[in-house]
Amino acid sequence: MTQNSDTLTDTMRRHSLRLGAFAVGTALLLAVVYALTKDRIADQRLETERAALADVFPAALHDNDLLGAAFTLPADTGGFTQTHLLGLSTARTAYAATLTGVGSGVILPLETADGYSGTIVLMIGINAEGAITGVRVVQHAETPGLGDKIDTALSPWIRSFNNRSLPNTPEVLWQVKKDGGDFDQFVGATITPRAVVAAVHNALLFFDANRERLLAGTTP
Amino acid sequence: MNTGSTESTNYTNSTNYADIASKGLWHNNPGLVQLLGLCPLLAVSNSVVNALGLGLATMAVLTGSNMLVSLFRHQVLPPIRLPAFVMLIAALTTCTELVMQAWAWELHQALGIFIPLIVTNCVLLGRAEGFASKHPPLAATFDGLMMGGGFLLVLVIIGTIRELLGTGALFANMHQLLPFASDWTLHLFNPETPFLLAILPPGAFLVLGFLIALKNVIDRKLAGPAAASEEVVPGSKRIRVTEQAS
Repeated sequence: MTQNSDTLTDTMRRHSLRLGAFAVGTALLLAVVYALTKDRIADQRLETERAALADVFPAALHDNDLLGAAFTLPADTGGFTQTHLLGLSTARTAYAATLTGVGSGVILPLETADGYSGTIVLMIGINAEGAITGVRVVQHAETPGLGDKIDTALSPWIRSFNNRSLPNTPEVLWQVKKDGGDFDQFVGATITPRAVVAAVHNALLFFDANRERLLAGTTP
Repeated sequence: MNTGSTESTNYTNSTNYADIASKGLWHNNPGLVQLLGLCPLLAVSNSVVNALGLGLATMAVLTGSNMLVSLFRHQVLPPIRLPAFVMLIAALTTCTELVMQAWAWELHQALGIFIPLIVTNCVLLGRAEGFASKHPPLAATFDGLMMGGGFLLVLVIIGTIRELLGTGALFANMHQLLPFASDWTLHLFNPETPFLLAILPPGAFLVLGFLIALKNVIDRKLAGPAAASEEVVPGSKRIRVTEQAS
C-alpha cells in the first residue's frame, strides 16, 4: 500500500515536472518571438491608424499629429451639445486638427443602427468651413455584394460625400435619390445607403452645433 | 511505450516520402478526405488572398508542430502527451499570429479570429498524435508540410472558385500578403449583379461538396473499370484521421 502510493506520487511528480518544463520551454519561445515582433507590431498599428485618418482628412489641412490630438466622445460630453446626433453606443475617439495652431477641422466617429444588419461604424472628416473632407466605414456587417458597397474597396460611392456641407446641400437633398435626395442608392440595397446618408447628415448637424468648441485649436 | 514501435521502425529503415506526399496531398487530404478543419476552410475561402493567408499560416504551424512533437517524442510520456501537444500547438499559433501582425498586418485584420482558431484545427492534433509522435523528425516535418500543403491546396481552389464566381475577379488585395503585388487583380468578367451565393457561406459548402465528389470520381476512374462497377457502400469508411489504429 505504502509502496503503491509512493510510486503513484513519484509518477505524478515526474509527469508534473516534465509538463512544467515543457510549459517553461513554450513560454520562453513565446517571449522571444514577442520581443522580436513587439516594436514592429506597434509601428504597424500606428501606421494603419494614421493612414485611416489621412483617408478622411487630407494632410495638407493640418500640421499637428492627429493621434496626439485625440479626445473621447461622448464619454466626456463636457461642453458639447446634441451628442446623440453621432449615434454612439459606446465612447469612441475623435481627433482635432490644427494648422499653425488654429483649428482647421475635426474627425468625428459616428454610428448608425439603421443599416440592414448590425451597427455601421463610420469616421467623418470635416474642415473648418463645415465641408466634408472624407467619410469611411470603420466596421459593418451589411450583405456582401449588396449593402457592402459602402466600403471603398468595393465602390467609390462613399466619396460622393466629399465637399458636401450644410450650406451647399439643402436639407431635403440629404436622402437617397429614390427618396428624392441627391445620393445614389445601390441596386438591390437602399436601406444601407439611406442609413449612411442620414448618419452623415447628423454628423454635420453635430459639427454645426459645436463648431466653436471643435475648432478651438486645442484638444477639448 | 511500445505504441507504434513496429510502424516507426518500418519508417526509419526506409521512410517512404512519396507515400507521405501522396497521402497528404491526395489520398488522405485533410480537407477532402479527413474533412478536418472545415470551420476555417469554409469561412475564410471567399477570396484567394484570404485562402492563401490562412493556408500558409496553417501549414507553418502544422509543419512546426509536427517537427517539435517528433523531436520531443521520447521525452513526452504518454500520460502528458495531450496537454504537451496542445501547449506546443498553441505557442506556435501565437508565434504565427505575432509574425503576421508584424509583417502582414492588413491580412491579419482580414482573417481576424481564424488565425488564433488554428489551435482548434483538428488536423494539428491529429497529425501530432497519429504521425509525428511515432516517426523521426525528418519524416514528421515532411508529413506536416504535405498535410499542410493539402489543406492549403483545397483552400486556394475553393477560394479561387468562390472569388471568381462571386466577384468576377481574381487575386484582389494580394498586396496584403505580398507587398509587391499591388496590382494583381484580374477582372475576368464584370457581373451586373454578383453571384452572391458563391460569396456567402452556403457557397463554401457547395463548392467543397463538388470538390469531394470530383475527387471521388477521379479516384474511381484511376482505379479502373473493375472498381468503377463496384457497388458503392454508404458510410464514411474511407475517413482515417490517424494513420494506424493502435
